[in-house]
Amino acid sequence: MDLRAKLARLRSMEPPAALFEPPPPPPAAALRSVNVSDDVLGRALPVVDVTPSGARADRIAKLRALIGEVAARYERRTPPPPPAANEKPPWSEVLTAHGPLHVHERYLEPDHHHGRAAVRAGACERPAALCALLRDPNFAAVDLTRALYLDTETTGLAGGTGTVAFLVGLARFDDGVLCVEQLIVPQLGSETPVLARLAERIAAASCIVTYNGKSFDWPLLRTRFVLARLPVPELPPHIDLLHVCRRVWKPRLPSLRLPDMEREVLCFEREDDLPGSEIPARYFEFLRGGSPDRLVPVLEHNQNDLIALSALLGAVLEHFDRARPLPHPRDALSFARLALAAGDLASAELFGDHALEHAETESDRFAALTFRAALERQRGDTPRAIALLSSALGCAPGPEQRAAVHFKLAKLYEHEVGDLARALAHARGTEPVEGPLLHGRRLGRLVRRLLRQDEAGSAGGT
Amino acid sequence: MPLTTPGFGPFSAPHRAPWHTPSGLSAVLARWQADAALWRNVLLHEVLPPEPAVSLELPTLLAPAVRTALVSRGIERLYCHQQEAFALSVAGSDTVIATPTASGKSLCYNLPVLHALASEPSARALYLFPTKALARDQEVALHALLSDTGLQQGAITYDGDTPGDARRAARDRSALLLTNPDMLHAGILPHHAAWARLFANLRYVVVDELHTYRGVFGSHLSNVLRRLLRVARFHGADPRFIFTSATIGNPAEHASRMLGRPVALVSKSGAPRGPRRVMLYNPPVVNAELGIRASYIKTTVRLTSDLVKHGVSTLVFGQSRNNVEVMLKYLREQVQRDKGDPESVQSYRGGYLPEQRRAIERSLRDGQVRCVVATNALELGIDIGALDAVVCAGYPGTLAGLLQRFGRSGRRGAESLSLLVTSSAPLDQYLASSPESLLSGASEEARIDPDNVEILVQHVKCAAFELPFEDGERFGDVPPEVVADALGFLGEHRLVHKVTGGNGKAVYHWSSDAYPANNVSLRSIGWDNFVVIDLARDAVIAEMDYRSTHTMLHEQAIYQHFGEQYQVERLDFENHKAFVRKVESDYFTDAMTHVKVSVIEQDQGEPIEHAAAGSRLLAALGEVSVVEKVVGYKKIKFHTHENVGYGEVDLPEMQLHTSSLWLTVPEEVVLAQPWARPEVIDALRGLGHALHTVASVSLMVDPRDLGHTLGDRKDADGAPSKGVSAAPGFDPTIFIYDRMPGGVGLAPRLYEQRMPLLFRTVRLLHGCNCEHGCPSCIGPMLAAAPAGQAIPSRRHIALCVLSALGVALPN
Repeated sequence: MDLRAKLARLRSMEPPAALFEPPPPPPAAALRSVNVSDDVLGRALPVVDVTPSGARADRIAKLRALIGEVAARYERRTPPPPPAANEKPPWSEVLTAHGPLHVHERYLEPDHHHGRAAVRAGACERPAALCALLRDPNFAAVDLTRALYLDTETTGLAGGTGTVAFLVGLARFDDGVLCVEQLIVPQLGSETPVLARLAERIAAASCIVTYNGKSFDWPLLRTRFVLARLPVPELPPHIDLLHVCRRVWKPRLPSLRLPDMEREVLCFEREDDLPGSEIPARYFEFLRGGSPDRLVPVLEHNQNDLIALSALLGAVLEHFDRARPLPHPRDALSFARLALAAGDLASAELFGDHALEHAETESDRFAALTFRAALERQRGDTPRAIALLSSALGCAPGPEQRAAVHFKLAKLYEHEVGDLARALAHARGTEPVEGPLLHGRRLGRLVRRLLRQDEAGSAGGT
Repeated sequence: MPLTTPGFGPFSAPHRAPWHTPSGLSAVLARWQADAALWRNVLLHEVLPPEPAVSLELPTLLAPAVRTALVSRGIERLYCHQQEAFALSVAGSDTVIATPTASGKSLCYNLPVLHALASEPSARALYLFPTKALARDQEVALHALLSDTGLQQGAITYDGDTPGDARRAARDRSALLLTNPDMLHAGILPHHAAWARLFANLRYVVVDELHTYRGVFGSHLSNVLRRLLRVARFHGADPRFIFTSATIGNPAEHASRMLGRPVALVSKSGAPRGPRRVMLYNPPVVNAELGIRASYIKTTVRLTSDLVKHGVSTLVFGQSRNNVEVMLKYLREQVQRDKGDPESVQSYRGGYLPEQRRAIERSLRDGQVRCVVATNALELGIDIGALDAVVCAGYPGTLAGLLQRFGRSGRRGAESLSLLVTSSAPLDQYLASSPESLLSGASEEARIDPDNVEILVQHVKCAAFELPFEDGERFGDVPPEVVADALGFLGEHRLVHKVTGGNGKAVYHWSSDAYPANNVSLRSIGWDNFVVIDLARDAVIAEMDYRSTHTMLHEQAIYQHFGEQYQVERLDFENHKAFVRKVESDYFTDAMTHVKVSVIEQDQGEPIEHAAAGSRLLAALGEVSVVEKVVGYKKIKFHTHENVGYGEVDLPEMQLHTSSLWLTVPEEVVLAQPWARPEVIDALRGLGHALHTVASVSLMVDPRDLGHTLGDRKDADGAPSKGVSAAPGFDPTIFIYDRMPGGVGLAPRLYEQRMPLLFRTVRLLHGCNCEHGCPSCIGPMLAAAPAGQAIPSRRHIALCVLSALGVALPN
């Protein structure tokens, strides 16, 4: 059969559902099992036909219903209004060297607050905090006042060459004012003006700030440059706030999505926010002649994302520099650890003390105590370290943790203090951590040393 | 302590060197020849003379680094086919190398690739293997070769198991990328922008084991290659292809169809081969009335245990996973009775997890395992070292398949044995009646249909995701009008969006949030694998494809794995999971499938006239819908193979749209016969069976590529029922259909040859010596006649009906 004729027939038949979605599980057998008996030869005896009548029509109806369900998912909750002809979009069209650029701009005064954080806090000078939070000393020279905030809205989450970043949201500071610039792709295939403007902004930036941009937004944009046959811009240092938030809040919060961070850290609750899952559909609707006004919620969602980025960056940095009210004790401990890793003992101590003072649960207390003890050890204040560790023993959540503390105390008593008896006492509890072999060795060594000590003592006494 | 499950725990058997003394084989043969009752059933015993090597000097233009590497491995000359392949590839030709198994094909593709790397440091090459296991094997070989050449470039396997950092290295730095079609389709092509460096510098694409890409899988691959070429062109490359194939009837045609442009053929092998003994053993008839022969499974076990006892390393091929497990069980028991180590017999099949398979291959190489029972998984070129004997339990359905299996023996140049034990299946007996065809050298053809509409549209969909389509663009060798139609179809379903540019040209962009490659399975037009979960250990023990799941993992089935039995307690169809529990059972299960065909549209049809009054056989060709349903299972006792029970199964149907030939016998002819109607219907059912056999042979196709059933062409409703209704107005119709969804061109060819087909069938039925019907002709009688009753011969009835329709041998 001729290929075109077959295609034409494919149209007239019920289309295979697998063409559009993961194939639905085959419809449950619409047929009862037939109760048939065989004669000895295994041949069927004439049987009353029990198959339900119209079974084929049923099957078709079921398949159609399934396909209908699938198609309905594309329709989303509200049916799209009829396409509006010649409606003026709520953004402007600017002529550039690469063609018309569709852009929406918004300016926020320096004092604009996003929840409880000032937006301008992002344009601060806190190099030490930045390096500590990113765990990278190379960020010390980065000028946050020239940072470029970046967040995209795309036609899908799967990545790959078929996913288009139809909205590239950018934000940067200009003399304290936050300039939000949203670049819109008006039609598929017309991405060049958007990408060119993006490249310009990247070239002028000291760093870029994103949320999950390292895994999602940037690889996607890089793909768009390649497909548009434009040179891929070289990225300046990339601050992915998701990674920062993970380091601070993962121990305590179940979800680290940007809206959750907004709520938790900035105390900002979005109203009527368009769910991310509906965004691609809105854009496709627009492409097919829908009203540009339907994209306004997408633009607002994107703006919130961008503004939140700046506010969040500022808030986290201020938290670290203790320019904000001190955080939840578990968060404080995260900050303390980051500070320690960056070599900032003073901050680590302050955070550690705060964590200890405000610890809410036994395990929080334990974590704080052991951390502070480690700090004191580093400072050389062994007695205080020992005191802290001894308190930690009292609130150890489990036998392994308790053994770990015994282990530390045993070593401190033996090597720093010289109190072998106490060392031995603690050494008895270290097996879960050390294993039987090393534990045995430790005990043996301590016993021998104690004996020698006694002998020396008695010899001296004579 | 012997292991039960290879791969878990240390090998504690002492290492032995592989013991390949020919005396083992001669001793066994002497024994067999001395046993008259056994030797009587050997219908073929030929010793093929050894073949000397045909080799030439290393090519002069070969890059020095590559030459050094070859010489350092002791390769100072190339076989003629390796030389020819090199010359063709370097001259810019697409090539297909179709020489027998173990003829050194990998050098045919590695040499041009390494030569390119040595001459052009930024060159890249892509290798496609049908399985991950093969790819990883070749990676090891390539690393060794690369280090011998001193080249800095690397090779990485990119598949589902590749860790993150290796993936990055693969994209950025590795010159050679080894992968499989599924990964290329769903993981690489849709992300081609991230692979820009690979595609921009792509010089060669190597496709290994081309013969495995036939039917549905092959048609899908052809479209994946179309997409690959499209993406490569976008990045500025025009790679050459190097295909390798085992012996099939049409390697050049197959490769050219696969690629969409002509491909040069290299088929004369220069590799040496030791003397090969080819034998065919046909188990004797044990029940003349029913035409039943001794079990070929048990015969295989008996012959194999003789080989194993004499230390002959043996590979046994079974037809199905079930057969493999049954033979494994019997073999181990026999080896134990012979005071051998039952663990020296292992099984190998595709459903095993990768680590298990690798462990078995290793122990075969090392000699700890003397005998492996396998399905065709080992047909693929995984290096298992030298084996002295290959035994095929049952004819695999094609000569090509048989020769590939036979090719597994005798790698060292020593004498080897290739033995086929035929079953009572019609094709096997067809072969047993003319065993010389084993040596004829003829081979079946591989067939694909890249323009199968359902498959094509799926890939146009994926291609649109990868790169927008421009107006007037072709897709491989698919003309622009058809591409435009396909895009229009996708547009109607809102998957692509047409944009008319300023210059008036239309471009079709992907316009959905879906990721199409994930929903397209290259192995089917449909659904994925199921996993088998052991309830006791709460672990996945194996995987199974959709089709086999129906017959092997229905509830209450006995699933066999590594020689142990598990019962399927629950089949979670929606989530593709089967839950099993280990049991000790004395029976295994065999599923019963019912088939129902309904006509969608008739394309052609005409009566086959009979000279005398009115009665006519109507032959027609058209599109049909085939519905298969597993309705129950038989319980079969081990060893005695008696039927000890039945069970019912409730599984959904599997549906297939394809093309078919059908033959309708008018009711009046049926009623005019002097026998009861059910008996006539039954004979017609058997006639379908005979037609199927003859069709497979005459088309030189694997009989599994065809299906047959008896139905009523007017009956479009309802499920496959157990029997054909006896309602009046029913014209029994025999359907012979193409088993690939959409059809691959077999049914139309059968329709063209319908008269020779019918006459050859009559000849087959006439010439058969059985009384009532046997598997070779009209299909077996399933039980003995009740005492004292004479039952009419099915064969005879069928011949009478055909004669009444005017189809008879001229006197």
